[in-house]
Amino acid sequence: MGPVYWQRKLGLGRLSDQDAFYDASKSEFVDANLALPVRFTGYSSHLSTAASVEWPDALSYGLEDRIQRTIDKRTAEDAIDEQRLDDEQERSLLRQEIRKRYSVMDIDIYRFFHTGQSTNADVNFRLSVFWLNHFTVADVGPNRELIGDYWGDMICGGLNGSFKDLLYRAISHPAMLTYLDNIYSVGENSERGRECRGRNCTAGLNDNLARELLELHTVTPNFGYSEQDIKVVANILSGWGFIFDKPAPIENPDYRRAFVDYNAEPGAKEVFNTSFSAGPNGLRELTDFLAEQDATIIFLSRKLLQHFATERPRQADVDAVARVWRETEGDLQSIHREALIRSLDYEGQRLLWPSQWAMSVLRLSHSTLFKGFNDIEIDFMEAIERDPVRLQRELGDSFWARRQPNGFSYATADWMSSEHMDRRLRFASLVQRGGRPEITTSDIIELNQFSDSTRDLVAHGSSEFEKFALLTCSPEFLEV
Amino acid sequence: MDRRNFLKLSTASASACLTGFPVHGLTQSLPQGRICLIILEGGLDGLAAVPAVGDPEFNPARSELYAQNALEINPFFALHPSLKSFAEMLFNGEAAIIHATAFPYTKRSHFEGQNLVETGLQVPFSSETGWLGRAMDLAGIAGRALSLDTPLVIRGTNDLANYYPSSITGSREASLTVLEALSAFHSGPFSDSVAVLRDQQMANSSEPRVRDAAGLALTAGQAMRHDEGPRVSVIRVNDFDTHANQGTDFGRHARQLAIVDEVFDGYRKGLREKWRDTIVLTATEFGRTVYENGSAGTDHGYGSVGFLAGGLLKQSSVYANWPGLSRRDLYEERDLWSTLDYRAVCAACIEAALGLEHDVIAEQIFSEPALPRVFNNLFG
Repeated sequence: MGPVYWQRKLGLGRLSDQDAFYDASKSEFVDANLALPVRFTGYSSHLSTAASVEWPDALSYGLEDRIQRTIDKRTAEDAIDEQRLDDEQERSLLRQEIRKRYSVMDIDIYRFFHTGQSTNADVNFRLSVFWLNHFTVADVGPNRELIGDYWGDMICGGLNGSFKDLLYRAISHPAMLTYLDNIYSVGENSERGRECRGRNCTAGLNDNLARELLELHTVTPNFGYSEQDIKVVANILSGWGFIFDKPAPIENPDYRRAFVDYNAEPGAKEVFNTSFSAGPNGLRELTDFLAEQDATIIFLSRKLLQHFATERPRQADVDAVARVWRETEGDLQSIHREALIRSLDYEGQRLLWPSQWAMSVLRLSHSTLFKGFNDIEIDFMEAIERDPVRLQRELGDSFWARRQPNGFSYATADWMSSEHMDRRLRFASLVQRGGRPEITTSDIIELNQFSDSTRDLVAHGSSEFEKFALLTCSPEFLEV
Repeated sequence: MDRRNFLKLSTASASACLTGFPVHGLTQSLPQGRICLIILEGGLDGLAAVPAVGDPEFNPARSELYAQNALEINPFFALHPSLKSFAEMLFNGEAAIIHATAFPYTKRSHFEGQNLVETGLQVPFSSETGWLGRAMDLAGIAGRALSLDTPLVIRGTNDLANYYPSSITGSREASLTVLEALSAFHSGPFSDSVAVLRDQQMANSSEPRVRDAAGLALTAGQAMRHDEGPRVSVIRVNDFDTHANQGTDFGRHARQLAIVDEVFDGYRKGLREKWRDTIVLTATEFGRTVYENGSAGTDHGYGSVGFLAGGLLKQSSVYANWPGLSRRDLYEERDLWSTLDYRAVCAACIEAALGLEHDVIAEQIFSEPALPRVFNNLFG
């Protein structure tokens, strides 16, 4: 098995025969792929050719813009509520108008799917999906315009940095602070906590983010922390983030480092036999501390191998990735490199997640199933078939949609079923019917060098329609 | 998040699972009872669902989170107003409430807790099968699921297939040629999955396309009504993790409880005369803190509440060995204690519906020989 298979295993499959690293060794192949930054690409219309172009600037948004949109959208919605319209239909029309005017979440989702389908940096794209799933955020309403920044800017832009930076930026990102309720958390002895004491207003700690930071993002319960430890971590986190539809309690807020002293528990904090500073610096010290713990390093080394290699990676491989992690003090590119090269030693032991499989199907067949970036706001009759989010929900793994913070499961038994198989067959037929594939099944087989066994399987099909379903649902296509 | 937003977040998802279809040829010896499990994901706040209004410590702890229109069940307990159908069942003598109960897990992690709710064991992630799956195995019923995935709780039987209505419109089902070729070329779970699809295609099964919780419960109930139908089903209702703006009579938590209520009602309507052979029960990973947190919500706790309904209950009851709500009575001074291992309730439901003996259930399903038998309290 060589580079063509590796591209399917670590990435999403070969886009064309122009790939530069055709004769590479494993390490050359991985290095060449890791050197490609994720640039956002897509097609303009589902009726255009699948050849991708750069994602338009007009559909790209900075964090400040996104937050302003969140605030403006809620102000506009409040204005509707104040009109007290009796007509439900009129109200819902007005709401739709507002959504079209201010919301960018749909555009972000299309950008995510279009890019996966067309990027030449598909290995880095899959790494971004790994981190997006590890630091899961989901649409809880107030954060929906921010998730595009979280993935596109924070994660894609952070793949070549250090884990420490990524951890700190993920935990302090407004999308995360909102998703796990930290914006509602108030230190008992903070200015606000004291003002509220004894009066008819509630203000107190909310430990949701603190708990998941320890359990899911870093050290895991094996570390052996107590409820008291969680409380101290929640105290360190108090003050981070604020509610966008309420008047900001500070002037000219810096949204990227949204620390509100008014809500923060004062003083230095002591936990894990370590002292953490008062004020905003405490969080950086805490995330740096957690990033260095062996429990974190081993947990994440294994998880990376699970994403690319197998549910149960060999201990020696986990140890090797962890060793690089320690030696480079958490340099993500070196860590990714080690994990990816080692993943290439495992063949056919991992099932592609539903959405990554779907992207791969669209990519290899050069299909334009989803709406193009110029058509996002147009309502088609067959909307579900051209809407990546709804389709992804049908396939079973929803990013963006509301979900639990542990993300999509690495245990195949949690999601594999006959119904899943049916969904994949349905999706394959959908691509044939409405996706305008530009490449035939036999060309996909040639370009991606599928095995003789797969060729035999596909030969059972009596039409292009059946051949395509057989290829995309073949063992070799599903299991990498 | 304010109240306006709860309404917008109403796309609460639910998935259902139908299982335990009789094996042909064994119909005579099959148990008549049916078990319907409703898994409440996120950690149900037992004190919001069933407020202990008679406890003098209740009001100070829950001044902001108390539903004003709660229905009085007895001088001590009230019922959240969202649970209208359940209240009706309670007054008709076919429902029970078990309070201050939990699975034996105190560490407050959703993911460990949810795993234990499904495996029925004490060590997280220590089993690949679930307690209902093992019960079905012992009762000799094969299974079919009605959900996109196969919930861990019913894994353990060999013949699990599943179905869940797809919204991918216009796509056509794969031809037999395709399914047979794929079945031959795949090995392991994939091969089984494809073989199941092929069998379904050959049987030309057509199923309704409803996916909201109430509709799924109705569908599940209708299927379970038939003698040849499934004996076990599972429905999952999510979003009980109410850290912020939990609400009282209305709001996020009330909305989720209303869904649970619709599920109870859907089962009763679907099962019709077979309701008398049925027990429906809820299960959740943990309860929530007794005291409100600073964001009008509650954090992860320990003891919660369980709801039971169905004709197998001889009479309605509220079952609680009440531990009290004053600080010193709380688990770690913050959570309602659990005074009954909820697995004992699950065991009683298995005993009532599937006819297995308590000792067998305790040892072989829950690996806990000392599990108390509460069958007589609930079904006696």
